[in-house]
Amino acid sequence: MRLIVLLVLACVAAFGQATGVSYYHWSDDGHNIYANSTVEASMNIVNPPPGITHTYTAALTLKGPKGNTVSGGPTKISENIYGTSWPVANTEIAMSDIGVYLVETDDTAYCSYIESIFFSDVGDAFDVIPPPYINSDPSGVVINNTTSNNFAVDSAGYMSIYGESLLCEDTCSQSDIQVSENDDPNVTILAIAGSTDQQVNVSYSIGSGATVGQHCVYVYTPYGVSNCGSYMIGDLSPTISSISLSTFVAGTSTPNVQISGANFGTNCPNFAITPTLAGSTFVPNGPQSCTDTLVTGTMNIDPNAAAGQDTVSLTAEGFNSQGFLPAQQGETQSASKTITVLAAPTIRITRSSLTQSSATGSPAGGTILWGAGANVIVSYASGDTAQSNPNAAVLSNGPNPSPNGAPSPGALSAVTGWYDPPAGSPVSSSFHVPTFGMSCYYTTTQQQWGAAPNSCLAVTIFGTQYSGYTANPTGLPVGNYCNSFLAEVTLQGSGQLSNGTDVQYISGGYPPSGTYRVVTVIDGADGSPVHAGQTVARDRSIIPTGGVHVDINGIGNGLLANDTGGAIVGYRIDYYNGAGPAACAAFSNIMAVSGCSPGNANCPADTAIQ
Amino acid sequence: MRASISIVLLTACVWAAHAADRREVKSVFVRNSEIYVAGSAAAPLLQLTHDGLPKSLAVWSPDGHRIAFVRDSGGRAMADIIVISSAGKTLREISFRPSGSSVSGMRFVEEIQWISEQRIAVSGSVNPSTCEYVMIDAASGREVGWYGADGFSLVPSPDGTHVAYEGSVPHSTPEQDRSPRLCVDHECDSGKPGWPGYSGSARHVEFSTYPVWSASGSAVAIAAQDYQTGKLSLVVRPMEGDPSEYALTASSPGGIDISWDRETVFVTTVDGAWKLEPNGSALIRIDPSAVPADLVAALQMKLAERATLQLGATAQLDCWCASCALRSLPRRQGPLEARPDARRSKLL
Repeated sequence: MRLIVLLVLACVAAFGQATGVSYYHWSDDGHNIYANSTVEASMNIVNPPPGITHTYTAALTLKGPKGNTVSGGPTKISENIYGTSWPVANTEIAMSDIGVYLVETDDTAYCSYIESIFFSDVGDAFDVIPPPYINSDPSGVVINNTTSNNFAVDSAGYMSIYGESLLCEDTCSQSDIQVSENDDPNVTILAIAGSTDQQVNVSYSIGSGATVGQHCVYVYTPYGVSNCGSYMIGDLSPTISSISLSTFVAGTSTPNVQISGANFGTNCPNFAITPTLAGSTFVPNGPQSCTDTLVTGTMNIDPNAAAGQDTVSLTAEGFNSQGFLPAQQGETQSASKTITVLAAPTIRITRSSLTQSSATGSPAGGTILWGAGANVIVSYASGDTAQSNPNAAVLSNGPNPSPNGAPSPGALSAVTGWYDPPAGSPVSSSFHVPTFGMSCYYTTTQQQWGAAPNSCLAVTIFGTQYSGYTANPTGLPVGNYCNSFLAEVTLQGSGQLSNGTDVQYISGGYPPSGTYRVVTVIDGADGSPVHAGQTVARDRSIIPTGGVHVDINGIGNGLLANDTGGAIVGYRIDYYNGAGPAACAAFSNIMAVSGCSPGNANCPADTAIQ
Repeated sequence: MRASISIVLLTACVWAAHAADRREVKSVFVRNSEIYVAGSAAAPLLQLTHDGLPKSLAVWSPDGHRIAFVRDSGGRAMADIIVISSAGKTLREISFRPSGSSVSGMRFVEEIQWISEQRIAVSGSVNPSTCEYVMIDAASGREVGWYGADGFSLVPSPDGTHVAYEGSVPHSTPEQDRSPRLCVDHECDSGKPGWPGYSGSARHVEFSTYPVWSASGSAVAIAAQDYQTGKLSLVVRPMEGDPSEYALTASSPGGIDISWDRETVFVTTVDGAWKLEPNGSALIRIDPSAVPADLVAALQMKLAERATLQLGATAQLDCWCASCALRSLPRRQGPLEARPDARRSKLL
């Protein structure tokens, strides 16, 4: 760049101008200029008035921009003669004095005749070496080998500064220049080799604490400091490069999943999973688990998530929540990555009968295990193993824990199938099976106690022995009856005569004073007849009235629950099996898997899953 | 599994001990066919038997010095009743109802309990309705008394000199013709009335609880429900004098608990609490928090027993307490606690 100093010849009115500064140089600090020049002027006097010769000596004065006199003196002006000159002292001229210089004369008489005054350089002209200049457009400061002037927080590299006079118009060496960022201590910029007058190469390091926004870089040369080389600092847009696991199972929580990428910022980003379901979340382990490039947390997939592709997105706030490029405080940016969701494993249990059940795990494969609570034994059906899917199981009766064969209370036992899928956590499903402690009761028979009057057996009841016979007891057909039989009818409440007729005790106590009656049927407590092998007594709080039938594994199906009594409490069933002790002689008081029809909460149906 | 159940049961006993003012509580139970005693959760278990024969129904004597239990007889009898000391020494082996004996009554031994220091009650069902209770002299092994009860309802008085129970109603009696009675000792035998008297001479009631003796044994209380009207009442039967009946405004016959504090009766239900002062003319509704703490503890223990039932009805354990409310309660964990609901079921 060449510095121009305009010289204007002023008279009464300005009448000419010319240029002419011959020598100057800049002061060391670049703020001042030294001038040492000769000004040469020429005037052309046309048709001078009388007395005015073509040669005239006038007093001229050279004044600077502020009106200060720089130089001057008498000057001989000759018509059509070029030239007059006088030296300009080697005076330091402040930069502020750069501007328009005036050549003045107080001899106004000749002004109108002076057609022009020309100043011209005398001797060699010197180029002005201006201070460095950085291009003001965005290309002035760019990241090396790019056209971007957006710099990322927490980054380092090389940048190029483009402009003019960056090396003093090639009069300076590399060591003569400096490059610096004046405002932000978190930014370090150092000039490196290879610079030219139009390009300075520097290394840069932008720390994580750098202020996001517009920054300036300056170039210093012996001839001055440059203008602001503008560039931007901010965070780059976040990106997710990988997720440590790509496949997740619905309904599971997977800890320590790592999401890797770049530009996550200094704070934990917010995560979202789409399609959006309440149970699908990614939760970072905590502030310490979040870095600019890695977040570790727990991936939770909603149990109802459909199989397919889901998208994990993060929204970050940049370093120190200062936003992203182009820098905006508080700005957030998002990034996303796709994961594969497998449907939640399920196990579906069905029951085809009282003792047959099946479990199907989804997806295929995996293993299925069975288990049961008290009183129920569950085992794999023939040909099935834990690896079978579907998998059939067989329920069987548990043992009666009583050591002396007494009936033991049963329970409402849970039967559970556990499905361990190929991927994901095991799931289970259960149903409940009532188990009843079984016993058997019967109606005493007349022939059981011998033949009256001579062959009656004796029996002791409540410490009293009954023997012999009673003739024509009240309410019974005429005849002799063994007292043991009558006592047993009194104890049991009913009996059966040798001819198959049913009788009931009414009142009066043990023989011989009891009163009896003949009945066509013996009713259970619910008011319907008891039938051998077809009816049972139960606790009504477990099996209610109303014609409920019971299937009892190992005993029989479709047994009508129509009887009850104070000794049958909870999960106990007394099975009526007809007349005579033989009816129950071979009966084993088993613990029986059972089902009701219709079922209820305490006694579910055979095929119920509840 | 069995071991884990026992641990839970022990916890229940220890918890009960805590509820009973930390007075001495110890428990006995059967594990792997052997008798074990536990004094506290922290103390090691004491194995008292080592013969490997199947056993069940272990119960403490009232003084806590002996244990009776049922042992498999190998077919020689209905069951063997064994009495041992708390240190495991065999004191008596009783062959109960030997095979071939011409005795009719219980089909199996389903319960045993100490009535007093001298007597053990062995009980079992005759049929779905009737239970036979046989009193056995612990020293001689002889049968010395018999009772027929409706269900397992017989409860001895605190000193063991009396029993109260629901009198037997022969099975197959039409439901509408039933005449349950609250009986004390043998008064219901041979035509004695009991309460509310014989069928035909009194209304039909069904009992909603078992009899509950006062601590002194001077009276017994029971909850009843009128078969025709469904109304509930509290019946207090003194050993001397006539029974009295008090209207109970609870909404349901299920879940009724009766407790005595000296001569005052407390009734708690899901609807609230009532008390009957000595010589009171009516039940007075009270805040449930006014029920004496000891009784609350006893009731809480009952709840714990119910929880035990849910864990496994086959697991049985008997807690013994030196001097606490446990003495006035059925101590056995197991079927006993389920019976009140069964009473309710009669009318379902």
